[in-house]
Amino acid sequence: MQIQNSVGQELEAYSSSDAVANDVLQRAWTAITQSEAMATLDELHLFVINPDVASRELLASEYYTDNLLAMRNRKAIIVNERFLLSVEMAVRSFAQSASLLKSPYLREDQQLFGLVRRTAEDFKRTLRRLRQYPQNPGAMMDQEEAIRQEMTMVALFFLAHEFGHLVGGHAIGQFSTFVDPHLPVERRIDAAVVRLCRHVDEFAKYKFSLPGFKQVEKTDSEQRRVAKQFQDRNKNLYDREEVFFRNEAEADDVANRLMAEYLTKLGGSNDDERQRSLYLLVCGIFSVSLYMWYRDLDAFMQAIGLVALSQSQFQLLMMEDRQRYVNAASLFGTHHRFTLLRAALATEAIMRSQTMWFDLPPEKRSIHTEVQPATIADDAIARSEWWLSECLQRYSLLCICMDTAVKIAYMGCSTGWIRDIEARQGPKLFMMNFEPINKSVNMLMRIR
Amino acid sequence: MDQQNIEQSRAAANQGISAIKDGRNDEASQLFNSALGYADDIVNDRARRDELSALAALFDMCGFPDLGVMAAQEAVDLDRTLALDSLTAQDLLEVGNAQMALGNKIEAGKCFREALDTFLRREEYANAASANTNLSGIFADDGDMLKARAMLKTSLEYLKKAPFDNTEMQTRLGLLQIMEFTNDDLEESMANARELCSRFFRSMDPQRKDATRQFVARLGKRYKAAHPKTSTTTWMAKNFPALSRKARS
Repeated sequence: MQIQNSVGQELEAYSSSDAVANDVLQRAWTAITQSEAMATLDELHLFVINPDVASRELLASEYYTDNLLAMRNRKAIIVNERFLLSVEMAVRSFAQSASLLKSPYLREDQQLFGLVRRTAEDFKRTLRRLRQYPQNPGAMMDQEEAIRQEMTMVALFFLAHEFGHLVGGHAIGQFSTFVDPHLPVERRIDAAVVRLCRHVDEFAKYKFSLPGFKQVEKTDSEQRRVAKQFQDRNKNLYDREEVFFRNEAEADDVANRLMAEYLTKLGGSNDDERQRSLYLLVCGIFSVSLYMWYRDLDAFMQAIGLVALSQSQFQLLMMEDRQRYVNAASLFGTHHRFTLLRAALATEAIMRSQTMWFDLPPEKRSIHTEVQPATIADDAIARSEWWLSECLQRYSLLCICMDTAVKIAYMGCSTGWIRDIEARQGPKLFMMNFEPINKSVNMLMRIR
Repeated sequence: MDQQNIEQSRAAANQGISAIKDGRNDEASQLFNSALGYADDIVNDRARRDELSALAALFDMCGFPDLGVMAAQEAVDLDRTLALDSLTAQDLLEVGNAQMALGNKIEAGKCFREALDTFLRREEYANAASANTNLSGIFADDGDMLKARAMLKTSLEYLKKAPFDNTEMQTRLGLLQIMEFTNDDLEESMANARELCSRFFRSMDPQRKDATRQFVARLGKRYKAAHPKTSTTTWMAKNFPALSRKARS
């Protein structure tokens, strides 16, 4: 479809000069256009935007996106090249360690905050250095090819979701930065309560719950009665959130099916290839979603005038001022389900389609293995076991890391109710315990 | 221009060390990355190599092997370009150390082996001992204790030809652990422990001192089991005066 204006011409004329980004996009796009779901669309275009060279008109147009955008009326998906490079940064950084538990970024929150800050402030040079020395030892193949495959999986994870919006006939879909450092954080209690209660429903639906705060999930609870008043006052916002979540779930379903189809095609009848592809996919989704979560947390804390050091410190800051739970609604964005939730659900759906692990009786299941990475090069059975364990550990850690977001959502959803109580009984002290990454890893180690 | 980049790189590295002392690893991560950036801008290959090599060691020591591995790999590339044979091997040791810290034992092993071959070819035995001792750690980690023990003994042979205290201390410490694990000959284990304690105990950091004390205490129990009439206190004072109560007081 031709876009008949100068911005459209600019979009159509641009192609990335970055060889890695081009290669990855091409691979992911081929997977999409060759998918079964493609038969439902008569036309589909991919456009790339590079904010460094884009015209002011394009940057201000409806086609501009920080990350990815699907437009039904244009039958197109638009990708910001810079977003792809951020994906690459996260993938290459985490891929330096073969084993999840040896990653230096999981030692403490400060390592993760340091990583997201240093990669942002010296983006091009850091990426050039990572490209110069590609490392992905766990994949047991050419290291650069392993990185490209992993990046392709992540690009597919995001693109296939936008593709899902087009297949579903949704007017627009967008993956955008959750915390835009250039915009003010949420300050409206009404909007925060409506949005966070919707997230509570979504978390609860997938069993990401908060023991002791179960009341918040129940529609007839006192907390939700107060929240309902906010919903009634903001009916448009509430209705929009409902449509968003429904569309998001539909788009995710299409994306998950497409990724499973892609993995099956890649592996063919070769079990080893299939398992390696699954390993790369799970590693990629894990790395990028954790990186983005910490980038959002960092941006959020900076937006409210604080320097993020750890989630334990975050706990004290949130306790200091109830308004911060209202501000924290910004952490959940306006366009998507929460990234970590999406990543965990996709990982589980794809793993279920590719392995029998979830069907095993609980006593026969373990996310850990005795197999050492040094022994997997020449032993296909050991390799398979080690890859599966690495996938399961990443999946489990994603689920554990959801804890902070779940707590913020539950507290935020209850804010109206808490405010009412405090108006009657005076100030109350509510403290949520946010787990730093090292504690999450300790928890992971305790899982069977 | 190069001098300015060298100074800025070193200043950023020093600030990174201060940030670590202040408990700010997030800032240290940014500052070390910045130091790496300035080092990258040094035009003279030899000067760039020297800075990168020093930074690699610093990053590994400070717990940033992700940065250390890249700095060391770049240093190795420059060493090869400049045909600096011995320094290539030394920087390979650093790449190997960073890879070990990242959990990549296969990659670490390749680096240590290549370094070992170079050092032996050049008859640089102190460095060869260092590479060999590091390599033995991989075998020990994989459970091949006999191979690891044999390699550590080979390292001691190399060190006889070219003594180097720090490597000998590491080697003997490794041997102390492996000999306990394999329940080695008591006299031989004691001889190694005696050598380690008499020559290196005073210069050990507190962590190593603690570990050594515990190993020696267990060695004492083994000795006591074999020689029930011996007093452990006397045995300790006689064999390990640096560790005895009197020495501690």
